[in-house]
Amino acid sequence: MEPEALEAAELMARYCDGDVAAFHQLYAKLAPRVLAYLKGLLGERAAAEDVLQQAFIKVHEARATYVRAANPIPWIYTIAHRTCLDELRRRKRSRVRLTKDGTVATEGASQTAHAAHITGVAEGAHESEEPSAEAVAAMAALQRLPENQRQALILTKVHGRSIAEAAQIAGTTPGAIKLRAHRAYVTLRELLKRKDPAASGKELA
Amino acid sequence: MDTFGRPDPRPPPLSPALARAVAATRPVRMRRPARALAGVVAASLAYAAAIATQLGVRADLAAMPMFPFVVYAAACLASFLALLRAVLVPPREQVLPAGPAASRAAAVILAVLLALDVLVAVTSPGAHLALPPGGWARVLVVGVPCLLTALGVVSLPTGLGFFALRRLMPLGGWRIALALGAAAGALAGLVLHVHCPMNDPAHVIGVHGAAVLAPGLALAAVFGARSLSSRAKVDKREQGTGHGT
Repeated sequence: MEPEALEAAELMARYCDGDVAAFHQLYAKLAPRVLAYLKGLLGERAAAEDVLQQAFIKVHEARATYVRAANPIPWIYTIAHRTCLDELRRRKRSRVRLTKDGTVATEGASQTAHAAHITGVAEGAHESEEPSAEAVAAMAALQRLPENQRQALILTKVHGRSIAEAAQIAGTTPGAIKLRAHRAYVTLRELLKRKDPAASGKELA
Repeated sequence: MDTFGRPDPRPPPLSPALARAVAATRPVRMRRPARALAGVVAASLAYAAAIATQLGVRADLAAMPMFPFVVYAAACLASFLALLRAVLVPPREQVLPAGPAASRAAAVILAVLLALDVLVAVTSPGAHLALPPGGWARVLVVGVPCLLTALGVVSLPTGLGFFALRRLMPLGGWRIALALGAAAGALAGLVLHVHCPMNDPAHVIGVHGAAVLAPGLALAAVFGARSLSSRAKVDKREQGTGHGT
């Protein structure tokens, strides 16, 4: 097991043994990347934060199903992903469209809400120093992919998880993950070409 | 940091609900998959044995060719144990069961059991390789008691299996459902094999074979349909929002 997985396993075991501090350490260690993953899936920071909290409540409730010395990271990602799907099914999201000139066209929601709704990229600007135009366009295009392709692409290309780990998280085979990531990559490249002919030659990852 | 060079976002502080839940944390006993497996196996075998005893062992047991009889019975038992293990015991250092491995094992095992079922059918004393008058409809009607017996047998291992898997169904749960149903079907095949005295190949292949295959396929279909439908809803909703366009 990798050092980060070993550390997470140790924290999880201590947490199951009743050590509250271990939960806080685990949260501090894993929540940022799970939040980033959820932001990629949902495209919206506020929703991703809600889902993150729900997911960790589920982790808390399901902690008795943890197996000592197992790597908890894929398990927590899976819980987060399942919570995200539940959320996507349940929520009535307000419709958002960008017009050709890039402005937000609202449909029954405030402009402020839309600004936060477009993608995580816009908010990412607060966190990163200077997100490039390509990154912004890529993250926006990511939201147009089918859910399973987006998941595969985010896990493998954006978050750098191994194919095996991504397959474990998605509950599928490594071959299927490779295929989904490849399809997502091809679609994404097409979307970016259409959006910005100048970017047609540029590779994403 | 992601591929785009953006640092992971800072997570929010714990919500009041999460903070309350965590503050009230008590030590919990962690799951021991081997123990869960032993419990499900013991209860299911005891239940199947009770049903087989209640129904009685087939009257023509002495006349049966022993080799295919024993091979099929052993294969059913081994399949039940192997598939339940695949479903309930995760791979080393993992929390969730490995769905793809379990479903592959289930597919192979179901094919082998079906082949052995055919072997048993054609080697049974007085076997005639022809459909009885009335065709498959008649075979199904005559086979209703066997199918009901099989339904009774599969109910407990399936129920216990899902209970042991609560909060543990991975994404793509149809794979695990297929393997769990196949395990239960193998046990049903064993009970029918020991109990049912009908040697008609159409009955053995059509009804007993269906009793072995159907639970896994039905559960996989139910879970697969649920998964497909929810994925379609998610994709449709996202397309409907015109998100990021």
